[in-house]
Amino acid sequence: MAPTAYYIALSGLLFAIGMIGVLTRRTAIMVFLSVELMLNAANLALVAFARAWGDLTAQTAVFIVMTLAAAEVAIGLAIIVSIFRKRETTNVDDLAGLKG
Amino acid sequence: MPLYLLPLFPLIGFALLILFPRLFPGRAAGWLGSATVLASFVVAGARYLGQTDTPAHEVLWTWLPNMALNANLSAGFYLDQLSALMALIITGVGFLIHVYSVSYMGHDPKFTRFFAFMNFFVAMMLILVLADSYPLMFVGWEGVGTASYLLIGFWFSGRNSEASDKDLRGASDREGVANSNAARKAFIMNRIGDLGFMLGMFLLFKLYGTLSIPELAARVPGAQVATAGIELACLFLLVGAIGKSGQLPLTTWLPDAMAGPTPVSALIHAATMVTAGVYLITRSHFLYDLAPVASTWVAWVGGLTALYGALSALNQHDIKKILAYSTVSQLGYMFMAVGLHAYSAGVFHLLTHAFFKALLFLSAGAVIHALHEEQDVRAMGGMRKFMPFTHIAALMGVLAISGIPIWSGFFSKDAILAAAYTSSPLLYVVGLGVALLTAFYMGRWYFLVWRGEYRGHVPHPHEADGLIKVPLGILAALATLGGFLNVPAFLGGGHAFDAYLGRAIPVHLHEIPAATEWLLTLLAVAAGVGGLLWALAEHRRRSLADGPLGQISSNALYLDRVYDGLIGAPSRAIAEGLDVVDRGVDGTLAGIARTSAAPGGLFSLWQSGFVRAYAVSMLLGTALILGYWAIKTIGGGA
Repeated sequence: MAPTAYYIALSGLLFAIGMIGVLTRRTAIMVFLSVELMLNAANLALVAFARAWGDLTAQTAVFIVMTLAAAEVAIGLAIIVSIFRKRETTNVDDLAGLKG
Repeated sequence: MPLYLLPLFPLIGFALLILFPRLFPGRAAGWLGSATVLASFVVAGARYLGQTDTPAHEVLWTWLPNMALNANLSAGFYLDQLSALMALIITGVGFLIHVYSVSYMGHDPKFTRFFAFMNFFVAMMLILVLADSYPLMFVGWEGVGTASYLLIGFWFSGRNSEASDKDLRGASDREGVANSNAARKAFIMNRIGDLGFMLGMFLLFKLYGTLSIPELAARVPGAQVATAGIELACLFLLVGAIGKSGQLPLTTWLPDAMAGPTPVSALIHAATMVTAGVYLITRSHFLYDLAPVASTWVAWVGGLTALYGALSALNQHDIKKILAYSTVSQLGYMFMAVGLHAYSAGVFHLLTHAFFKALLFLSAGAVIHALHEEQDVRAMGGMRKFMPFTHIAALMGVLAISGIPIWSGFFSKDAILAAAYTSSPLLYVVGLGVALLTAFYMGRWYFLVWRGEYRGHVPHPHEADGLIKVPLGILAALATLGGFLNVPAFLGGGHAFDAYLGRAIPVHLHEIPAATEWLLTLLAVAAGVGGLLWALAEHRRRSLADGPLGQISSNALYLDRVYDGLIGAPSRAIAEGLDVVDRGVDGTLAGIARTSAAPGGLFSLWQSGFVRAYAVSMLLGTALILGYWAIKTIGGGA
């Protein structure tokens, strides 16, 4: 059985990739994908800990996160589509209407 | 039938018309409005016929419990001979004017709203005259004031605000501003009168511990109260009456109120609301009977106002303004009568004036309509040829107001002049002079509008339609024959009206020898005929358009300018001074606000609108929090 540390390392790597994606990508779709990646990195860490501790509570949390992510995708994509229809772009830097 | 039905019907009409205007397409609103007033008239008629010598007092509910120690004030209605008569005038003349308005206002885009306001007015006026206590009367008093305000400013954006032509719309805007100002003026000047009314109520409550009118009437004669207190209360009530009835010195709003539609001028500013002051004093007769000084004030205010109105009417050029100043003058007559405790004569003149002045206003409205909203008498003339029916009706009104025998004004004016002769010869001379002036300016009105050459701009003016003719005909008949209700004894009559009203209001009969009565009557008739002949002579010389007194009369004795100089200009100066101060305070505060907002501006830079910048903030924030906990945990563990 592989040690938990490997899973955590993989999770950290995925999380870092996702974070860099969020910070560097300009397309809303890619930003979105990166966020999903970060969510799943967290899921992986939770599952790994659940296995290490022999406790199912964390796995329950993972199910909630997955459900949430599904809902978020549905709404998020819809928002992106409607933004695209209105503005003809999904570049998040162009969507700076809330500038203070 | 209970009394509350009287104001209830028009109030329901008002509620329906104002809340569900879309339910009433076309002229339905006008018919509904007329029907509710007719229903009230039927109730008023039934109650009038079933009247006994004991006044009916119907309490509805306890309004102000424990207003004084062990004394509740109830809201209720009180019907005696005086209020029955007033209710009949309001609903009867009101109904005729409603029917007239169905045609007159037929093309107005705000037709439904007009009838809503008219119904509201009738309901409030009925509450005013039927109230059994001064506070409830005050409710109606304020209600009719509101209705008057709403209807004077009815065309608050002018009559052509929807027009596509730019010049027409500009003129309409200016007209709208003038109309709105007239409405505000009426409202504000009435506030002064209302203050007097309220102070009078407070003082009466202080003196007698009740404001219910029947209770006061029973309590006042036996109460040990200083005369000065009663005098003061009566003077306060007089201020209220002056405001509502457009008497000197609060008179200038009434001529301006002609900015409203003509039926409004006929109903509110001639026949009913403006007579509320006369009603108030007559209703409070038990107080005024004990207050000789205040009564003298009432009489002199009336006499001077009668003179003022008559002088101002001499050289007006607006067909409605002549009638408006005439109303001021005739109300002065009524005040003179009630001030001399000749309540019956005053109320009788109120009745006949309601007939003939409503008639004159409505026929003026018919002319204005026929000439496409022309109101200048110099651009009229010869209307007799185009509108024969309206001409006859208007002629009846002119003869009535001039006091020509058998027409109603002859009897009522004669009674007032006889009362003045016995109490105050000086007032009699004023009254007789005003009678002469009245006949002259009404003759001038008649000849300028109806006789001579046609000077108008409309090629072929048309006679009014049936809906306008019927009310005109009925009112003309009433104005002609109404005087026979009260034929004096020396003319073989029985003082029927005096006897009727005498069951509620004490009639102080003046014993005058028949020979003197004949002389007084002849003088009054001579004044009336002389005035009309004077107008005819001027008409023949074609010098009628410029009446006597010239500018002084056209400017209504410069009263408006005097008020503007005494009150208007100083108020504006104070307001401008305060405005400067206000701007200073405002500027300081704005400066403080800007200074404190500056650091906020720095923070707002952070709010860049770039999603990725927010992501970085989130990341750094999370890292900071995590780092804090990490250090704390490690530090705690060490």
